Amino acid sequence: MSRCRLLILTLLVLVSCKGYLTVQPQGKVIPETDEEFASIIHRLLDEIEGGADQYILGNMETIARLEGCADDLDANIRPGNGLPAYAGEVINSRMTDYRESYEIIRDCNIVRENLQGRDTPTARGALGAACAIEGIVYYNLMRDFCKPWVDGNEPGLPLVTRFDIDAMPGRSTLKETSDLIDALLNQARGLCPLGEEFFFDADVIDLYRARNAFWREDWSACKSICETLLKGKSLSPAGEYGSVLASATPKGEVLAKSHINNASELDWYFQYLKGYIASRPASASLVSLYVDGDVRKALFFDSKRCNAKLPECRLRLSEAVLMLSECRARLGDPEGALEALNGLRAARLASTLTPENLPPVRPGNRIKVDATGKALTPLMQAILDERRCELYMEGDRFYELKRNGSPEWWVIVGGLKYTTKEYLYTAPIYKGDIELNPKLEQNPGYED
Amino acid sequence: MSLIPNLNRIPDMKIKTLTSILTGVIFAVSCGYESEPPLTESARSTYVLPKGEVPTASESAEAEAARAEYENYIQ
Repeated sequence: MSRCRLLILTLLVLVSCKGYLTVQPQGKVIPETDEEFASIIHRLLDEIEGGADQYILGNMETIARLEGCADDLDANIRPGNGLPAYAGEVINSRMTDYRESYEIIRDCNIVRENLQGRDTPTARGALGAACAIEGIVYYNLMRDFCKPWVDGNEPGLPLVTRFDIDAMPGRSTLKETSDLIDALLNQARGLCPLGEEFFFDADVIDLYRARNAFWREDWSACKSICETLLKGKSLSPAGEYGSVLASATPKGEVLAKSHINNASELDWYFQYLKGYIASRPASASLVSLYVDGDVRKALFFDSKRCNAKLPECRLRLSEAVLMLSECRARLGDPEGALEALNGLRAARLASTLTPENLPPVRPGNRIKVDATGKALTPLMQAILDERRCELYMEGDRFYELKRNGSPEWWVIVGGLKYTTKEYLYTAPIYKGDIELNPKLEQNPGYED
Repeated sequence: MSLIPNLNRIPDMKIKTLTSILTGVIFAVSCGYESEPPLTESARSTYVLPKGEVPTASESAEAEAARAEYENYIQ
């Protein structure tokens, strides 16, 4: 009898499945303290600093994809190794990027929801960083998965602002998406200073606010932010420019950069990526834009016209100057536009531009209309050319092509022609979400 | 008649063996959880990549001209 009881007791102990009796996630910890929530943010910041992050500031892999899909490097000369030939090659991997970006948004929403109202330095810093990261990720998603701005009524992103596993929102408008980005970045800005350990400072957040205003063609707002951002600061002079761009940590006009941890476990992979990027020569149309004496030409290209610039994601004041120049031009201030442009050119030892010596619009330009759909003027061409020269190999050219008319163009690789058609500038939303959520509309052009 | 067998009649060694085997079986089938729902039959995760086209003679000539310009540049 006692053996029987022992056997039955053993059986009861072994089969008692406690899994359904508790609501705890299996093997995971629910954060409670400020430090635990901050650790979610620190994981994301660690990825930025180590160079693994592709979705916030981006990394060398992001640049390799964007430059492979753009026309600063010419695949018609030689496609090279390890780079996409054109945007059509990467449509499926972009869906993974979409899904993983929303996982970052989910994490930021968890932090924001739980740290709101807490007043410790850790809570403020983590909350501010969460707002900044979420705003930046939404900005990146907007540029990749939505069409360029026309009037703001274009389809935007599904907006998720709190953690809710049952939520299945449809697409907002582009204006609503941009408004949310603005609100998040402004909230982050209001919490500054966040503390050095939380990576984002006021200048970095302001640059993203300017980028958002620029993309939504709010030229006044962008001009105002850029002028405030640039006040009291100067661009790195020509003599220091090379060392500023090659520096592992932010220096001179560089406000922030990813991959500042040079002992990252990904360094071996980045060596390969640099080689892949350098395997495709720069296009003649790009190289011809650099005038004699311009320090950028010698720094950016080797003797074989292949890349020599460190392909890292950076946030720098030159971009604010270029945005300011374009905003002034669009607001009817061509003298102010040229003043900003010439300030940049002087720091690069390029010649001064005047209304009289502006080159005429080239008939062979790939970009034929500006962001508002109007034919290029000599001033606008000069601004776009300067942007192309300055932000080469920083992942900007693809978005400039998209923003300014999304021109169709082709490359011939392996004997076949591959065309970057207009729809390929806007990546497909993750297919799983489309199938699960009937309210979600896919971007046009993609075949099942 | 009792549903529970009279275990007093079974030798100790056999009970221990039986318990060990039963323990192993129960651990093997015991409560776990599925972290993801099963895929639906119609789920396809990718889109068709656009196909390349045969270039025209002028397009091929344009690409060849880009290569020639480059070769000339680096000489």
